[in-house]
Amino acid sequence: MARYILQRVFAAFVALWILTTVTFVLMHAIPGGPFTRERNVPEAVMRNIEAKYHLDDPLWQQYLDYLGGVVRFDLGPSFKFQGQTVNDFIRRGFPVSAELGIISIILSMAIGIPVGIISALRQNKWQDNVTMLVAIIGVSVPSFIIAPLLMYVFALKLRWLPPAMWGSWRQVIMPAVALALLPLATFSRLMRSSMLDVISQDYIKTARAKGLSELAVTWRHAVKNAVMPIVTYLGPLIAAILTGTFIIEQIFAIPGLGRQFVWSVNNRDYTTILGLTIFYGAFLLLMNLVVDIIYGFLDPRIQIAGRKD
Amino acid sequence: MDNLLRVRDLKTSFFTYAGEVRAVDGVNFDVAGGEAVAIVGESGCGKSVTAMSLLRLIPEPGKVLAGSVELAGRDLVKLKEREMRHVRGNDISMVFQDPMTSLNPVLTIGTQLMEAIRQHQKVEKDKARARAIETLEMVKIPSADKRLAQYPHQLSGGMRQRVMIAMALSCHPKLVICDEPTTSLDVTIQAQIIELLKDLKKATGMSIILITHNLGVVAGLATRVIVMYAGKIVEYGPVNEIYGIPQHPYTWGLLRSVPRLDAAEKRRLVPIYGQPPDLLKPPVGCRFNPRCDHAMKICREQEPPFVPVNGNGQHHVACWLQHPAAPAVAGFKKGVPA
Amino acid sequence: MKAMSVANGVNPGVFGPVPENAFEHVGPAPEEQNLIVRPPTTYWQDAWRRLKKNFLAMCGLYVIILFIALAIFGPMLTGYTYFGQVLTDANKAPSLAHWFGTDHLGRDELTRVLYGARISLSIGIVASVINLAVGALYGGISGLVGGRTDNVMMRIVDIIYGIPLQLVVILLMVVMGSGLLNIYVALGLVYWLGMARIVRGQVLALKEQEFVLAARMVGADQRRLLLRHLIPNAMGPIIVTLTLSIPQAIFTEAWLSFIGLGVAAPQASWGVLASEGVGGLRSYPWQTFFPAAAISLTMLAFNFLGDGLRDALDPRLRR
Ligand SMILES: Nc1ncnc2c1ncn2[C@@H]1O[C@H](COP(=O)(O)OP(=O)(O)O)[C@@H](O)[C@H]1O
Ligand SMILES: [Mg+2]
Repeated sequence: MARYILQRVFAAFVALWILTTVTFVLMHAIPGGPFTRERNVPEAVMRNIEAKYHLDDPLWQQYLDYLGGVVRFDLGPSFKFQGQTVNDFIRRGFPVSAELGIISIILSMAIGIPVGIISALRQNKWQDNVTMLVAIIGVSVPSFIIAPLLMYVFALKLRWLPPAMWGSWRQVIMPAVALALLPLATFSRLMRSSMLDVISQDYIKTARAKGLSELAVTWRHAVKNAVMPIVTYLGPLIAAILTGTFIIEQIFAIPGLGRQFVWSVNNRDYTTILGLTIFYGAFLLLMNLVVDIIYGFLDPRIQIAGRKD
Repeated sequence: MDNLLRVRDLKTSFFTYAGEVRAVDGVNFDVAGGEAVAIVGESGCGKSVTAMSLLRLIPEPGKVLAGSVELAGRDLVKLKEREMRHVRGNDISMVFQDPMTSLNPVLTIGTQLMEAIRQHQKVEKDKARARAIETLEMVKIPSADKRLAQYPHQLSGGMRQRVMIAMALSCHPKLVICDEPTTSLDVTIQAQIIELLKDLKKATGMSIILITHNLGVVAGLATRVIVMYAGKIVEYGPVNEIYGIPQHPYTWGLLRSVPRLDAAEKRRLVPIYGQPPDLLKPPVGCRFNPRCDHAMKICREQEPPFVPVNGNGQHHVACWLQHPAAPAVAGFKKGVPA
Repeated sequence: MKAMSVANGVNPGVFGPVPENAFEHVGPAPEEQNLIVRPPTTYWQDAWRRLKKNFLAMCGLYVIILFIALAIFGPMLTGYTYFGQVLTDANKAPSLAHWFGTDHLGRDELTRVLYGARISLSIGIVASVINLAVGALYGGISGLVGGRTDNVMMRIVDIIYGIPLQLVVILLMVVMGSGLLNIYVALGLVYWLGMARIVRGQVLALKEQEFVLAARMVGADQRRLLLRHLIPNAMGPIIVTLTLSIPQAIFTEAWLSFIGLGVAAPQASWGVLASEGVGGLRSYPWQTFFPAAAISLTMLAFNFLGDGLRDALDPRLRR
C-alpha cells in the first residue's frame, strides 16, 4: 500500500512539473505576454513583474525561479489588477467555487449511483429504459445549455428562484443542478454497466447458491464490487465540474474563482491565467491522488499486494 | 434404495434472440442418500444447466419448463422462492468450477464462510466463526483460524477450491453438487481434491453429484455414472459397468478420449471427432448420429428409447445398436447377463 | 437373433416397430457435425444487423446525416448571409421572414445557426480525425513494438492523463489566439490519449492471433502488418471511440466559446451563438434557444449512435 501511494504521489508531481513547464514555455511564446519585453503595460505593473520574474536573468534562471515560486505556492502578481496577487484571487474565489462544486458532486452521487443500481436490477424493463434515456440526454446536454434554460424557466418565467448572485441557499439550487446533471447522468450510466458486469460474475452465482436473499446478494456482493470502478471516475468528474464552474459562475454571476479565471482569459491577464492554471492543475492532481488512495483502500488486492492485477 | 433426490422429466430452455435453446431436454435420474453420482459429457451438453436447474438458479433468458425435482419427497420446483432459498446452501449446496472467480475478491474468506452459516442457522457471530474454522479444518486447510481474515487472492487455486468446498459443507447439506470442481486445477491438485471429497463423503454421509467432462476423475469417487449428450441422458449405470462394458458409442468415445487417473497402462487417446450440436436445432433421431461411426439409417430418423441392459435393472442406454436386429459391432461387448 | 436378444437382456418389444433397412450402416455425417444453425454473418454484417434494430441509434444516424446535409446546403437556401447586418432588423422575434429571428446586429439567426453547423460539425470531425491519426499511430506503435518501448510510451500516456487537458487547451488558445484553424489544432493535438490506449489494447490482443503469425511467416514487414492487418481488425472499438469523441470535441469548442476563446467574428459556431444569446436571455430567448437546441440535438444524436455502435460492435455480445 505504501509503495502504491508513493508511486501515485510521484506520478502526480511529475504531471504537475510537466504542466508548469508547459505553461512557462507557452507564456514565453506569447508576444506581449508577461515574459517578454515588448508590450504596453503600466509602469507600476511592469515594476512588479520585473521584481517578481527577473526578466534580465538568463532563461534557465527565470525558469528555476518560477518553479521555486510554484513550490512555495507563490503564484505572483496580477498582470492587470494593481496590488492584487493570484493568491488573493484564490483566497477569495476558491471557497465559493468549492462550495458549489461539492454540493454538485454530492447531489450527483446521491442520485446517480442508486439510479444506476436500480436500472441494472431492472435491466431492459421500462424503468431501465426510461432512466437510461434520461441519462443519455443528461450526458448530451452541456451544463452551459442547461443553465440558461433553468434560468429562463425558473427565474425569468416562473420567478420561483433568484436568477443570479450568491449567498442564500435558493441561489445555490440552479447552478448546482446545472453542474450536477452531467456527473449525475454519468454516474448512473457507469454504475449500471458496472453492476451488470458484476452481476454476471461467478461469485454472484456462488452467493445465490448459498441461499442468500436477493437483497443480500445485491448489497453485500454486487454493490461494493460495482462501486469500485466508479470511484476511479471521480477524478475526471471533478475535473468536469471544475471546468463547468468557469461558465456556470459566469452565467449566474457567482463570485467564484471560475469567473475570475474567465475574466483573466478575456482580458489577457497572463500571470493570473498562468497562476490559476497551475493552481487548478495542482488541485485536480491532488483530487486524483485522493481518489487513487481511496481506491487502494477499497480494493484488498491493492491494499495487500500494492498493485492492481 | 431410498432416494434422496428424484429428478423426473426435467426440461430447461433458454429463449435467445435466435430461438429456443433446449439445454436440458427431459432428464431423469435418482441419487440415493450417501451416494456419489457422476454426470459426464463434453462441454455444452447441459450438465451445468441441469445442476443449476436443481437449485432453480437459471439465469435469464432461461427457464425450467417442466419436470419435478424431489428432495426427500419435497418437489423443489413447486416451492416458493423464499422456501427455495432455504434449500440452497442448506440442503443442497454447490461447488463451482473456477475457484479463482467463484469467491468474492473484496470480502474475506471468513465473511464469505460465515454469511452462509448465519444465513441458515440463526447463531451468534462467534459460534458461526467457530463453525467456519471447523469446516476449514475439515477440508484440511492449515492454520484455519488465520485464513478467516485473508482475501481470496492470497490463497492458491487448490486452497481456494478447498474454501469453496468448506463453504458448501458449512451447513451440513444432504447433497453437494460439484460442477467440474477440478477442471481448472493442476493434475496433482485434482487428485487431492477428489480424495478430499471421498473422505468428506465418508465422514459426513452426504450425497454428491460430481459433474465433469473428464471420465478420468470419476472412478475414485462415484458409484454410478450418468452420461449426457446434447441435453439428454444417453446412458447410465454403475461405474464399473460404464468403464467395463460401456454400451453407447458416445461413452466409448469419452472413455477413449480421456486419460484416467487410475489407469495402469498408458493408452492412446482418441478424441471424438466433431463438436456437440447447437441445441437450437439438434439433429433428428439420435442426437449423436452425425458423429457416430456406427450410425445406421434409423439413427437419422427416430430417437432411440431407453432400454435396460445387463438384466440387473441398473444399467440403461438409449442406442439403436441395442436392437436385436442391429448388426454386431466389432470390439464391442454387449451387456453380459446378470 | 432372438436368442441373442434374450442373452442381451433387451426385449425387442421396447423398441416398437422399425422400418425396413433400418439398420443399414450409414456412418457419421461430417457435413452435419459443425452445422451452423444461426445465419452465417460476417462481423460487419452482424454489427449492422444489430445497429439497424436499435431504434435510437438509427434516429441518431439519420439526425447526423440530416444535420450534415443542412450544414452543407442550408446556408445557400435561406436567402441571407451569416454576416449581413441589417441594424433596423436587430433582435427581431421569429417570423416568416426570419424563421429563427435575428440577432443584435440584425443578422438572420437561421442562417447563422446553419452556418454554425458547418463550423461546429467540422470542428467535431476534424479534431476527432486528428485524434484518431495521432492516437492510432502512437498506440499502434506502442503495442506493436512492445517491450520496453511500450512500457515507456504508456508511462508517458499515464502521466499526461494526470494533467487536466482542458487547461492545456485554454492555454493553447490563449497563446495561439482564437480562430477556426487554431481550434482544430488545439483540440486535435490534446485529446488523443484515449484513442492511443484503445488502439494499443486492440493491437496487443490481436498481435497474438493466428493471422498475425501467418502474416509474419510469409515475411510481411511490421509497417505493412500494422496498416494492412492490425488496424483494420481493431476497427470496432476505434469506431466507437471516434463516434463518441466527435460530440466531445463539439462540446469542448462550445465551452471554449463561452469562455471567449471560440472562433473569430463574424464566423460563429453554435457555442458562440449560444453564449452571445445568454446575455439577452430575458428579452430575446430565441437567440439562446436555437443554437442551444442544435448543440444538444447533435450531441444526443452522436451519443445515441455511439452507444448503439458500442453494443453492435461488442463481440462479447455475439452469441
Ligand atoms: N445463459 C445462456 N443463454 C443461452 N444459452 C445458454 C445459456 N447458458 C447455457 N446455455 C446453453 O446451454 C447448453 C448447455 O450448457 P452447459 O450446461 O453450461 O454445458 P456444460 O455441459 O458444459 O455444463 C449450451 O449449449 C449453451 O448453449
Ligand atoms: Mg459446465
